[in-house]
Amino acid sequence: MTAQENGFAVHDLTVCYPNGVRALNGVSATFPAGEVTAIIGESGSGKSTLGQALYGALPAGAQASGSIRFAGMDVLACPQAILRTQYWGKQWGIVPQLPRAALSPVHRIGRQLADVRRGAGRPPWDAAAYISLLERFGFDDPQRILHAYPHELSGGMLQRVLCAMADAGEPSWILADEPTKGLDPAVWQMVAEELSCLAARAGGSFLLITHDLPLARRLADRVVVLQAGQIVTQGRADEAVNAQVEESAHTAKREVRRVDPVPPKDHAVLAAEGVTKYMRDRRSGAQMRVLTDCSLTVDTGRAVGLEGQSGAGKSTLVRILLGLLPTDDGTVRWNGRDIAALPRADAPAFHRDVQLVAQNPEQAFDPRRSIGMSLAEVFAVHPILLRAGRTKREQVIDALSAAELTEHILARYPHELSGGELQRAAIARALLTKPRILLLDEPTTMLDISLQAQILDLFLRLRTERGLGMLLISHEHALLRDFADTIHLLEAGRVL
Amino acid sequence: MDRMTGYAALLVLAGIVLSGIFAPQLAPMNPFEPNMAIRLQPPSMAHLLGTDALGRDLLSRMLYGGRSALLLSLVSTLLALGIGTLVGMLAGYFGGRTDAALTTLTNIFQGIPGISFMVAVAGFVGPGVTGLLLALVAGSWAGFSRIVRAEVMQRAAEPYVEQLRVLGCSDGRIILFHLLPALGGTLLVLGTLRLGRGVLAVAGLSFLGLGVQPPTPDWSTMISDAMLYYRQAPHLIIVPGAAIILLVSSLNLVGQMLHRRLDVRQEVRG
Repeated sequence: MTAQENGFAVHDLTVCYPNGVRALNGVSATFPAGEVTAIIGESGSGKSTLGQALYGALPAGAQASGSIRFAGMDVLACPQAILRTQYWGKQWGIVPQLPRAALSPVHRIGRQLADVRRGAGRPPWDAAAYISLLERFGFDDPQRILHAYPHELSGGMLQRVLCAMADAGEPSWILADEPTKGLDPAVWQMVAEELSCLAARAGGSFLLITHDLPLARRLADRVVVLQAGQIVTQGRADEAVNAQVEESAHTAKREVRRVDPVPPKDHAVLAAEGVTKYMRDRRSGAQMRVLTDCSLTVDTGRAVGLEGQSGAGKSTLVRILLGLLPTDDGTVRWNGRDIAALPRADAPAFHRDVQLVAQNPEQAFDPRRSIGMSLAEVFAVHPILLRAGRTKREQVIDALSAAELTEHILARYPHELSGGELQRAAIARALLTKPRILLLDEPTTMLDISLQAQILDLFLRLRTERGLGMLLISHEHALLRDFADTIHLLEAGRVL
Repeated sequence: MDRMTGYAALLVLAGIVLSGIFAPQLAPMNPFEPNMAIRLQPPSMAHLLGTDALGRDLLSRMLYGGRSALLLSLVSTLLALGIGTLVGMLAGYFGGRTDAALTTLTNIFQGIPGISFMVAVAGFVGPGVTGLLLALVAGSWAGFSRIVRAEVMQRAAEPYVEQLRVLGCSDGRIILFHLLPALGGTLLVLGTLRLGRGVLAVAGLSFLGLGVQPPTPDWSTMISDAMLYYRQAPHLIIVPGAAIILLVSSLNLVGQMLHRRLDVRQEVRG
């Protein structure tokens, strides 16, 4: 079979969702076998929808018109049963988004690899074959990985496991959906390498859906750029296309400006003093020191940056500052008071004063509750926040508008919103308690470049208008330099 | 299993439940009144399903006979579900020593061999409904607890729960308003599947004379009473036997339908 015959050909594809959104609008493109094609676009541009459509896996209710042909077969007209028995997991492999959600938490990696292989109808392998598979994907200790459960591995490792998993089924096509979302640079490097290794093994027939331009530049032979459901440009990944791609990305990125904040009216301080934390390693049972003698002060009106690679202990430090984890040595003081010794009656005041905006907005809300319910819950927990003369709803709407959202979001559920909207809603919720200190744990990592800039602008504005003290935690030095007055470096559990 | 099977099972189940509820209105005769003149009669117009060894109308006894099995199974399932959810929730949410202690307890109870333990309890407390309930609950709560614990552990580690703690939500609030509702589907499916097994357990124990006591009409005691006459009047065994099979399988099929509908994780069999 020639490459042409075994590729995807999309003609005039339009996809509408039941809520009236037209995700793709008259898209025509070819995805030849033997080449790495990158589908690039911002969130909401329809790139995930295109990926789903190619594999015949559009969500229920989506209306598709036009045609998609694969090796002479009409994908859109093909019954799901045939796709399931002959294509999915067999000829067509996938490297899914969000690796933690894609793996079963209760089975060891080795077992899940074997399941994939069996599901693909390939003859079983012995242990040595799995070990060499994992070695190919850059693991130094494949034996351990085979016997590990997903929760024992880091995000970057899981992403590489998923690459290996896609390879185990020996598919002829592979689709990778945002494989580098939320990874820090060191891990990014590794995952990018494994992806190119994976692409080479599938004979190069590889679809990469991403908003990560450096990754696309590194892997892709061809690029398809989507914007608002239409193809802006497509062709070989040569200089001209690259330039165009860069340009459309850069218009989206706005300049982040520095401003001098208003002096705060009343002062609040959150300080870590000589914090040391041990964690038990699940495998060896040995105590590992995660944080060593860390000291750090955040106070109202100031923006402090904390820079560190993944695994440096950033998130542990945040959880300790919030009182979610006890310290093994050292104290966290809130306005001079040790939070570990805080009387029960004063705990709510501490929680109101110090709020968090976390990394992954998609997991910040109870999925069973509408945003309105989640926001209103703050008043149930802290009745003191209800001010006379203002209804709950008015206060919620105030907070929403401070986060640049409108009230129509209140009736929506988390899965109906985009990452950017959710992150704003999370900010609105944090603002409801009238905090004086905000801890921002990688608040933009999971967002697109254009959204990142908007969210950072929002933080800057909040800081200016309300004099909030902020601790921004990130692995990106450039971002911290733009944002923070002082930057601390967290390396191997020590604040430098 | 296709969709129709599920609906058919639901229909059968509804029929059995309704006929049990409205037995006093539906029964053509008094199920307790013996009449030795017409004993062991085959089905006829006067007695649609015939009569038993004491000349009681089988149809009337059948209508009443489903009540005890359903009710006992329902009560024991609810009790076991309640205890199992409470224990599993506490173990999964608080972790550490609480978890270790409760998990040990759960393991002890789950290690107990089902039916023989029930026989022992029923034998110890004496035959009757109290012993039966005690035996059923003791033998089944641990399964629920394990599943709830695993599910709660996973959910409690999700970032949104941590975010709720940051907002100042108490543990009680998180458990009651966020974790418990998330378990709703799982509990419903587990409960329905357990109901079927409960009916079988009640039937087994009553058959052995450890559960429902005569003269209360009950399908399995009816079978055990009729064993002596299986040559003369096989319908006395076939009819209640078929009813038990229908009830248990309809419960299982409905459970499976809910399972698929609610998209509950796979390891719910316990």
